[in-house]
Amino acid sequence: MVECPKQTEGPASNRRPRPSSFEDARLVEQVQAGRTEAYGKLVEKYQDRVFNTCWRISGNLEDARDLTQDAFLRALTRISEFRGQSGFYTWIFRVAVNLALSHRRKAKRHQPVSLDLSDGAVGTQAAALAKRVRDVEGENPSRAVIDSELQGKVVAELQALDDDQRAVIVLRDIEGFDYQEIAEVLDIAIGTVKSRLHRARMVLRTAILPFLGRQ
Amino acid sequence: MSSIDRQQLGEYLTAYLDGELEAQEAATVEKILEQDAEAKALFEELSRTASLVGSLPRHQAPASMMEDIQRHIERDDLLGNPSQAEAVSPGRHRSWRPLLATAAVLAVIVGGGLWAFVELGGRTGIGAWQSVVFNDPKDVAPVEDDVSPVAPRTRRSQNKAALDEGKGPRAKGRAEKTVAFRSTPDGVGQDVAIVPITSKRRVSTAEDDREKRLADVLTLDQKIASGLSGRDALDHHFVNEVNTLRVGLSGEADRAAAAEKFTGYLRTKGVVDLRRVSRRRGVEKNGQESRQTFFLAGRAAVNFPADGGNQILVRVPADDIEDLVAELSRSAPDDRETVLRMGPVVGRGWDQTRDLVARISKRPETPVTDDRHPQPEPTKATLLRTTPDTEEFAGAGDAKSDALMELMAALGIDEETVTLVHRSVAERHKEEHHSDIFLENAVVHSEKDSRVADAPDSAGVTTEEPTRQVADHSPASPRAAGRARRATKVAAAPAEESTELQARQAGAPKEVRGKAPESDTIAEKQSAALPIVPEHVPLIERLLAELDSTSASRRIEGTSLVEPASKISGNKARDVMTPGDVLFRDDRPLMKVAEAADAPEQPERFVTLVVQFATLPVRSQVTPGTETPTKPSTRRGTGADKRPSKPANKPSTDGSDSDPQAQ
Repeated sequence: MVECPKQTEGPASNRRPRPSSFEDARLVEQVQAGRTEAYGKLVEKYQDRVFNTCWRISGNLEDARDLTQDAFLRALTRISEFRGQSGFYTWIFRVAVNLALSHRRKAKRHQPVSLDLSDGAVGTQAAALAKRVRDVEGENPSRAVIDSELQGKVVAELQALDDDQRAVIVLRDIEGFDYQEIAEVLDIAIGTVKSRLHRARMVLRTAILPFLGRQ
Repeated sequence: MSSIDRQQLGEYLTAYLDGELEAQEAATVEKILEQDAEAKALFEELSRTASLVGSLPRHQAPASMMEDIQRHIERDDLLGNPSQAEAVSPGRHRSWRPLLATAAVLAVIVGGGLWAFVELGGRTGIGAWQSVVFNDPKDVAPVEDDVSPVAPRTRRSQNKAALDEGKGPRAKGRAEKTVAFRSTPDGVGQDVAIVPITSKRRVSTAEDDREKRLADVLTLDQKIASGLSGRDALDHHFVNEVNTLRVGLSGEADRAAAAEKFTGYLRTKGVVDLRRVSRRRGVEKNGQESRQTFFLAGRAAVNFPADGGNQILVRVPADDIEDLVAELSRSAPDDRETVLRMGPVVGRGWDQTRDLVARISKRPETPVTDDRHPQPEPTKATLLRTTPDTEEFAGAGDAKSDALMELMAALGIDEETVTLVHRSVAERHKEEHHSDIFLENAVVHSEKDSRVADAPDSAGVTTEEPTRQVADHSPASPRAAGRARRATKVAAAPAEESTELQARQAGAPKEVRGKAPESDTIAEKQSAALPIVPEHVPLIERLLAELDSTSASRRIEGTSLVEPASKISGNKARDVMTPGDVLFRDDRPLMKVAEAADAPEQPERFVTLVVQFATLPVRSQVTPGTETPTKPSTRRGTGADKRPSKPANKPSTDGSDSDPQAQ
């Protein structure tokens, strides 16, 4: 039911440009003063990043759409409570990540049993991703196959991570948050960020080690 | 750092990789990396891992995200969310007011339709079905006495009495125990029995609470028979009845192929094959060895052995039902045999079927995209015109235009005028797909219309008179002022129709009507586009007053109409309201939003659908005049002659022998 989003290039670096907190603060003030169009600018500014974060945490594009929408709506609903102690950027991600994690927990309780697709949604997504990559004709087909397998493996392992670990690694390696920001978004200590991130990377590293050797 | 263990070293390496170490710590790590090959290898692997995760493909947010959010904001405002009301501009109220007005009128119309259904008689449902018992045909309980249709008033009075005693139809359903499908020409239910739920949920004695609980578990038939209001019926999503969708295929091979393809589709959606589940869950011993009980608590599907296995019972989340129907429509493009039955409502053909399922899906305003069957206009499904022996369904566009016509007719505006206004509005908004603002724009027009208020029209009737008439009312409130202002802008009909209106009003001979005079000047063109008829102004004022009054008192119902998918009492309500908020309906607290930690988990809404794959009749053998009409009549009270004729090979729907909903 989700319209097919446009595929974009991967990030050149996992550190994304910092948004202007001053501009955000000005827009938030305008929203608090009743100017809805200012909120539209905030949505436009962050919707792609929030959407991708929700996607990688929830593992489902359609859920990501709903979660992104809900996050922005919830943030607007509580915009009057926003005091600017952290940036809107951090705040909206906090809302979105909490929603996505909550959604994951609910989904686990209501996970449909697939008897014929033993690998479930993750496997389906991974398979789709691998197929899409395979479909792209490259100069080195064998390398493309390995890359696609590797990406599929990374996606699958990412979804298999513990929710808290996945959130940390998505925020760090996909969205480029620094530890302080991750700590604010997830409301945890920086030391916890470090340990979770390391454990998550170790799990992923172990899973993809065989592929790394083939490259 | 020398004493750190491997775990700590790993964390340091991770932090070093991310540039999160202080200079001194970073120098130490660099030294370790120079000396420790194992640490260096680990670092490189962690670096590769981070790089791989960071290079995963990204997606842009869907293009409709902004629109979706804006629409939800408008809906929230309708719900009266106070914190959000502070954050958004009051100017945007203009954008949703047309929806509100339309919704209010629809509420009146549908309520009337349901009232007519109840008063004229209808079929009643049985139980709030939550579980399905599959039996061998020989074991189906002989329950005809329990399920046979009774006179509507009798059934209604029974249920009403049960309600008065605090039991409700559910209590009645429990008393009836097992209810079975009877064998039908369609083959539905030859081996299926439905057991009313045996929930231990306590039925509150508080009337509010009871009504809400009933609304959550009753079928539409039961709601009608129980005397619940039409407004409650509007919120109905057909999750409590067994709906049937019959699709036609051209031959036996196609039929089997379509069934197989559909089964494959269900597998890709993670729908459980119930036969396998049964083996896992075992057999429930109910004193009958042959009886197997399955509790459909989630996604599920099962093939009926009956009818050559060409029936599949599916139970999927309401969100998925549109996709499911789209899939079926691709397999069976010929929709001569396509019939969707949802309680007392029937949709024929894919267009009506899509509109109907949109009623129960999560995002009903989103049209199903189907390359083979593109929808010309986005429409919302609604219920209309249920009568004892004929059920019809109409899309929102028809419903709204009918609503306009009926309301105006009720206010004394003659049919010909209504028709002209309706046609002009339809033409005006056809290209823009503004069916949602149909009604509003029939009587409210853009500011540019007011610019020509002083110009005499071609029939010699000036606009000054109605303007003064309205102005003399001296509206005290902005709402009244707006109403008065709008009343002066009634006419937006194209020039041709405007002239026809004026000519008729001025008593011109009929044969000269419909021809707009050539307008050479801007003033003439403006005047030709302004067919205000003074006599209509009071009527239109009454219409506006009616709209305003209904809008004011039915804000919540209007909201549910705009997005009927459980926006008030359903899963999303918590998400659009702040914890602690109380949603009122008719000054009664309907629900309170709890804190997130305390909020009860809302169950996903599942729809039960029996998909039947039928064989299409050969076209050449169809007797002319007996084919299913492509567009059923949507006019109310036009008599049986205007109702769609039944398909040639379609079983009777009088509830006596074929319709499982009638049982």
